[in-house]
Amino acid sequence: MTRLTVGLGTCGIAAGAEETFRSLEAKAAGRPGLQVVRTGCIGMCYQEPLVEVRTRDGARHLYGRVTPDRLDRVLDEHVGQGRPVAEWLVWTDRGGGSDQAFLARQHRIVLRNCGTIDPESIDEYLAAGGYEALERVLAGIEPDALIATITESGLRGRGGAGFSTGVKWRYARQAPGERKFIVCNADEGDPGAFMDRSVLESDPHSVLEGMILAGYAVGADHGYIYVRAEYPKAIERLTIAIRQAEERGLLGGSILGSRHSFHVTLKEGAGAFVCGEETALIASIEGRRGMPRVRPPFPAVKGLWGAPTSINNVETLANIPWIVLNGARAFAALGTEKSKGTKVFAMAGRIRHGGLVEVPMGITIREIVHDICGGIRDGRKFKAVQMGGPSGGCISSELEATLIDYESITRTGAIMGSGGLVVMDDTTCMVDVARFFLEFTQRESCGKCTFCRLGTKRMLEILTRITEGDGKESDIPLLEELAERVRQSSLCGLGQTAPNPVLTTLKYFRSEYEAHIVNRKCPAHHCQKLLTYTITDDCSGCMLCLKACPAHAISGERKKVHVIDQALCTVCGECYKVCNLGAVHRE
Amino acid sequence: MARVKLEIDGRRVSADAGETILDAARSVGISIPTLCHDRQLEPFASCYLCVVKVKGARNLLPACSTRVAHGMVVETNGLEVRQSRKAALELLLSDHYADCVGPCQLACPAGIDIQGYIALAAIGKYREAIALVKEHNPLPSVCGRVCTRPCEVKGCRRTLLDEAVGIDYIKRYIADLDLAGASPWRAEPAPVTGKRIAVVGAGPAGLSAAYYLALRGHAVAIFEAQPEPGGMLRYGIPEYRLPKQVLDLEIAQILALGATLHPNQALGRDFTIASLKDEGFDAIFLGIGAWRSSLMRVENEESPGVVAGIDFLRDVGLGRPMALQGTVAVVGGGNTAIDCARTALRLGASTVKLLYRRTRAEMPANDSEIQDAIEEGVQIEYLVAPTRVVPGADLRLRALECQRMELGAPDASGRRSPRPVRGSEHEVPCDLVIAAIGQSATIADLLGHVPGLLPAGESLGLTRWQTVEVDPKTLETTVEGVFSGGDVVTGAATAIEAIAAGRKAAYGIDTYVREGRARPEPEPFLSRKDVFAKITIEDLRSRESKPRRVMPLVPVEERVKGFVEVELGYTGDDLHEEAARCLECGCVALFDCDLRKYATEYGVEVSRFLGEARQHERDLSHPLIELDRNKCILCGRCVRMCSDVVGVSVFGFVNRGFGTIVAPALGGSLLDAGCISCGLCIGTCPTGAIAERLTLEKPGPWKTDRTASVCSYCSVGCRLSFESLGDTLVSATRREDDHVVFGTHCWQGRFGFHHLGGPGRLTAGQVRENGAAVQAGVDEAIAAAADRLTRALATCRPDEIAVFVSPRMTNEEAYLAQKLARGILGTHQVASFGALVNQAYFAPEAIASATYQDLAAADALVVAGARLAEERFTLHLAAARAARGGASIVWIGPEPDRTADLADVCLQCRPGAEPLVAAGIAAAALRRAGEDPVSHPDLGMVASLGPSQWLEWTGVKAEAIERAAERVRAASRRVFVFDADYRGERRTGDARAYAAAARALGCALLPAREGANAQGLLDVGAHPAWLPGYRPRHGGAAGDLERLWGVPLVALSSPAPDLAWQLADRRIKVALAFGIDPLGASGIPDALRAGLAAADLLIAGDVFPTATTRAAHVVLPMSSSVETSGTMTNAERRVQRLRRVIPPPSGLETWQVLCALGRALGGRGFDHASPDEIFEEIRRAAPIYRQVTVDAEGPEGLWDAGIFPLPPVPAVSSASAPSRPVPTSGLDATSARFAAWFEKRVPRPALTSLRAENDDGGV
Repeated sequence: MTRLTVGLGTCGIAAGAEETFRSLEAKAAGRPGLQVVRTGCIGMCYQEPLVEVRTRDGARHLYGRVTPDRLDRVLDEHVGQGRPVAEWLVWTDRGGGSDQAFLARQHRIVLRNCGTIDPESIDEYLAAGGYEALERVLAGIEPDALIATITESGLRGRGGAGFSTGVKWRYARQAPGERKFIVCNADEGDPGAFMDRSVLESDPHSVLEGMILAGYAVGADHGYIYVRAEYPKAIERLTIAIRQAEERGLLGGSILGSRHSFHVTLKEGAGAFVCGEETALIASIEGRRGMPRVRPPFPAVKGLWGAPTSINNVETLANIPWIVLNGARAFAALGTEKSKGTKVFAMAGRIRHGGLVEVPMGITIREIVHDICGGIRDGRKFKAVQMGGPSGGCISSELEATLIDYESITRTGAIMGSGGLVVMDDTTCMVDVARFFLEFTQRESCGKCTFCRLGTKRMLEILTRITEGDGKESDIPLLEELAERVRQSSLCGLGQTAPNPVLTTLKYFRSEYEAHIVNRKCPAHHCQKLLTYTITDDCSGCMLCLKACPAHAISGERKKVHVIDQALCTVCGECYKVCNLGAVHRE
Repeated sequence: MARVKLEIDGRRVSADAGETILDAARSVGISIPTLCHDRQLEPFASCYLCVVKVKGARNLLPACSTRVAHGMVVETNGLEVRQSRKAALELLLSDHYADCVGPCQLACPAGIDIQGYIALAAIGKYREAIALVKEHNPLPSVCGRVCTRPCEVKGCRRTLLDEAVGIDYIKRYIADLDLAGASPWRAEPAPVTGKRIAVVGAGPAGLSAAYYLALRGHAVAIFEAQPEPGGMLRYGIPEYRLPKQVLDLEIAQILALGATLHPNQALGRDFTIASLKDEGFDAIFLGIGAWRSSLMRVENEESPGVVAGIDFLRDVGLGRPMALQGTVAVVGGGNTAIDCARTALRLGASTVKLLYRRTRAEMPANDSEIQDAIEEGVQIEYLVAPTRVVPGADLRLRALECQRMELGAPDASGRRSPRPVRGSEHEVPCDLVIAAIGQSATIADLLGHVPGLLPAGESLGLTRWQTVEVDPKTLETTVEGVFSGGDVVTGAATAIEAIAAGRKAAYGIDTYVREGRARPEPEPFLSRKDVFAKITIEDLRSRESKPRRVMPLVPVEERVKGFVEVELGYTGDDLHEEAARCLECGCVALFDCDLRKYATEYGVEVSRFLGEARQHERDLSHPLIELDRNKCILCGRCVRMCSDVVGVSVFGFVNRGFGTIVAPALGGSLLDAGCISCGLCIGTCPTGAIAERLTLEKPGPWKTDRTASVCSYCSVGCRLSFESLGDTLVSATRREDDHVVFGTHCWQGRFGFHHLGGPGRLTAGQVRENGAAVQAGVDEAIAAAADRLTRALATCRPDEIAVFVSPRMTNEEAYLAQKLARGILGTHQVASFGALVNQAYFAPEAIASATYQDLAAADALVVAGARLAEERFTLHLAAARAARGGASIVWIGPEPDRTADLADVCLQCRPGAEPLVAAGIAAAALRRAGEDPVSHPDLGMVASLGPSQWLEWTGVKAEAIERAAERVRAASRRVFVFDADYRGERRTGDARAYAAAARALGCALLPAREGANAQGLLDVGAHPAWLPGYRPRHGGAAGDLERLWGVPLVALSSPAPDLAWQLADRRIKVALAFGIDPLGASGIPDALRAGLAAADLLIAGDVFPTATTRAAHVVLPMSSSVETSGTMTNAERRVQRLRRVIPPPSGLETWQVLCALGRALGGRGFDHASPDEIFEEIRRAAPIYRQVTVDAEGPEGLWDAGIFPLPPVPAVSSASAPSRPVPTSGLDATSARFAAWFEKRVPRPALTSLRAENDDGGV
């Protein structure tokens, strides 16, 4: 039997994978010995739609950009004649394919089943060793021992803060209370981050299994998955997975005949970023406005409905079964002294190979950017990475040797965060990057704390005026003052970290701010209002720019050098784009 | 709870482990600012104003939510902390599109609270209005005539809509009215300081300085060069604008404060600054004005026939005769020029020409003055300037040569500067030229010509305009101890600027002489809308246009004949109409806004973080509550108060980020969202975002007086703070620090007092003579009452006399009433009429053994036979507090209400079955405890009921009863609440049944009552059965009282067995009824009503005229609960202090009336000087009150229920017992009026339950 899997994560679907899948199903219908299977995302989002051919001998060949018209050749040559179509191969388990490096340097624990199993089939999960960990634990590992294992593994919360998962469980276990809860935080809200979505879409059972184990450890018989309503595919697959697990006696009362019961409720969040914050998330599940509250008491003591609650991120939970099966030591063997295991990153920005990667902790930024993701697109210059989304910061390319671990990243001023990693090149304006992230946080502030609600607004106004050429010399100290106050005087993480993008760009790219303010120039040529376009003598008088200019600011005759009337120019850049000779000068 | 030790600002503090830093700091008197914290609410931590520095912590921490820890070192007021707070305030205020005060006040150089005095004038409080004006201006009558009115011209926002409000005319009206009165208002000067201040110059600046210095207790000597005081006011402003008489009167008011005036004493001629210093003056104010006319700088200016404007006016002012004829040319465009022109006209000039070098638009004189001048015949020529005086023959003038001008580019002042038109010279024939083109100060001349003017070694700094150089904040000159203000500093300016300067200098001088260093007056923070956006007509679109009242003037032909005052002044009607035109731009929370208070304290600079600011419409959809979202700082206190404390959740946060607002949940208005109008949101709002819509014609705002007192609405006795202004009650607000009802109140308490000061009060007595009621003075009425009583007593037996009291009376009043009955009238028949009517339900033995604190801290609470949410709202809130603390609540009643929503076990039963259900729970509990309830004396009957019988009788299933019993038994702090005046189905003995059930359940008992002082009336002996303190009528107690009162009591005959029968049988011949209206109230059995009406002598005392007072032979006016002091005893047995907020309209408080009546009847022991004295006597008469603490704050505390056994329950009357009790709150006119007031205004949603049906074992 030859198995053909089509990646049907949201990324795949967006690239047209459903069409590929349907087409493949139709073509395979007439051919015996062919199995067509849907799977989740394998991480090479830039190559979607992806189709993997696993032949009878177990050899795996991954094809990229498999539009329906490419299917025939793959079926004929590879499946039919045993000759893989070399020019479309991106990866093979025999060390071939154009993008071999992308997967070769990864270490997949969380993503172990992603892109290989059918996420809508519990059998495939079981076949891949799923629920073995649960079985083993229920068969004779005490909750305290499980907690000890997780503590020993060194697993830290992957939602961003990096608190020891084992310790968190222990607090919840030790907190007095008749009822306790597990909450899976799947409110992935950072712009550009999609790790949790991918895991939920590609391997929902691993998260469920992690939750059941967490419930067992903490003493909770009920769990909530708080998932963004914007993730319909994840919700759909979770719903299927929950039903399947219940049917198999893996969820519900007396799991696998043990005394442990565990029920899971799916709760859709309405898309407020702040609801990723623990106390706001709890308020939201309880039906109140998602607004953080004072801690202590921490959720581990007084959480959902006032009961002790352990809130764990999707990725954290997906790690649990693996640790149980492979042992704490195997996990702790990966990574650095204080950051163990692996981390999944969503790679985006000016990178050649964007997508999802899982790497062992302790790898460097350079390795991820250059070795795994193929470096910067269009041959431009690597300038910075942004880590941790709106709560994180920009790390200059000068620090590309920085190790990926919690402490090293924090030292740069950024944070590990949940795994969003945006790569920037020399066309990126760092002031505008700061403005972008701040616009996001100020819009998403719940409005409670003075500094977060108003401080970020004023910071945004300052950044906006800097990018528009109206900056004042006093703006940088004012930004710094506000940033410090917002950081200090906000109740929750959203506010406390909101200034990070500003602070880190100021730290590494202060001169760019100064150029905007003092010289009224944007060094990255990004900020529209700071640009001036002029036409050099290279102009051949082709009139392309003249026709393209929407403001009719360009005058000139055929075969004569054209001139831009600066008073009329709206700096839209159309002339710059259309000029074939590079005769339009921008600065 | 464990105690921890920490250090706050270097002080060692011990605190409970669970306390916050804020609480711990407050407990030792260190105040930390906060906007989002309210001690009634859980910590929220959003405003970040309360940040403090904790040693070792990386960040500043919010004190409101950070718990103390052992060894903590806290710094609450360091630089870093202060900067952070300042930044927080600046951010909050950067989105605060609101005005603290109106633009008129900001435009007024003296900063007069214009909105405040207009509002006072509008409600007829002229005296308070003039007092407010005089806080900043001691010459309001003068200013009302001569002021240049920047408040109207630059300030008044109404100019965008139509015309400015007649601010100045309103001021003139109230000032004139005050001056014309028998005793004009006069401020109370501070105690004499012994400091001496010399004021040089009795112009507006000097007079103002003298006034405020005298008020501060200093001895002021004013030196004036002219023969009379007033300066330019007297010698520069003609009589027809400012009659000297007005000036004299107002100056007399200033001098009456003790300043001495030394006329004809000129600086440099008669004395020097050095000589004043030598004489021992502690400070000197120099206000000598600017008396030199500026020159025209033209040829022949020295010719006779050319005079300076102010010299001309001064000569007229000094009464020097001057007859003019021919043509007079006046040069200039200011008010002085206009004054000269109009004066010249009045002195006989046939033609007066006013020559001005710019156009009318640039003319600095007041528009109305120009208009008047033109009307009177002054010819104004614009765009001309003199170039040469052309002398004629015989030392007379021929003409003034002038030049035409044209306007060029605007100069520094913004006015277009005139430029001569070449060759346009022409002659203007005239006989006299008056040059009124400006004045300047003469101080430089003095300094030059008078050696030794200053003390040796000192020099007086001058500006380049030759005016005195001063520190602009304190008006200190460069000479030690010498201050200066007015024209000598500013150059020729306005009266109001001089007055402002005088006041400012007075502040500086006062601090200088007291502290050795001049300090500027602190400037309060003022938020201004125009910082954010220019106000336009758009902002006023909801306002109606309405023309300004025209000032009545003397007809032109009359005017020019002499110097009669031209402006006649507003009438009262005009004033009212004009006041109504005021747009009330300032904030109603001006005087109690925390945001403003802190902004002032931290010296915020709004401009630092200016950016986008949101603008919102005000929400006036609620009749009592105004929402102004512009002022909201999103502290969420209203949101939390409404949801966490009240349990209604009317408010919610809407949107996110900068766009977040607090709004009625789901949009719409407060009422749509289910607002119950309790007003607790108003009390918690730290700014003016949520404000009370006062029922006064104008809401002020004013600085009000606050009196801590208690609510007299019902027996809960909530503590309230009453705000008053003179004799007007403005509002009733919560007492945040109150521990009795946790700072809460209900809608009645918050808004219901309005009727007390309302119209229709009984202000005098009334005596019926030959069938006709005749008004009488209080004393007269008292004498008449005494006279008639004396006569009646001679012919009737003690059991034919009855005294009825109201539970709205204080303990002192009720005590005096029963003392009057027993000690003078010789009868024990004194009773609350309400108790008499409801005798069947009367249960005095059911007294409280639980306090409200116990209720709120209970872990099991049984609520039976009570409608707490509707009628005892704050007890409902206390029950909600208990529920939040985890209490199990068992609710029993026929119709679930909001309290039932709190219940764990809601037992909906048949009407009237509540006591049975309570007994059933008690029986079940006993059974669970292994006891046999059947043998229990109180529960036996219930316990022996079979299940079907039980269900049939009560409608409640047995399982539900069991569950309730289990809940109560499981708890350790158990409280049982019922209402002794429950309005549901009642049976005789209900209260006793509740008490028995509570006892069997091990619950402390809390019986609520309707009448505010129902408990106190019984305590102090207003009942036939007992003497004060529930002591028996005979035996030792009577003897004690005899000794105390000095009257024989042992011989007093027993009362009739049943006073109600006695009344119904028409056997009461003499009745005194205080504060009740049995003849007017509904629900009173007809027999009782007829019995009272049949009395030979009925003496009624009340607050309002009622059916009973109309029928009475003598009526005595009483004081309401806000008009007297004393005590009331609430349902907890807590004796609480009632304080007089406003004076009673009749002049006498009720206790004074009763004392006077007692004395008039020849009784002894009726000469108390204060309610405190009466209370002292009560403590001696009623030993249960002995443990009530009396300190400087007055009596306070629970009375001792342990001294006496429960009083024996008197026999139940069979006299027409109603099936339901008569609502006693309807027995008095006050509550009836309240209900009418409230019902009319506020559509309040029913407070019935949200619970759809019985949660278990229903009917």
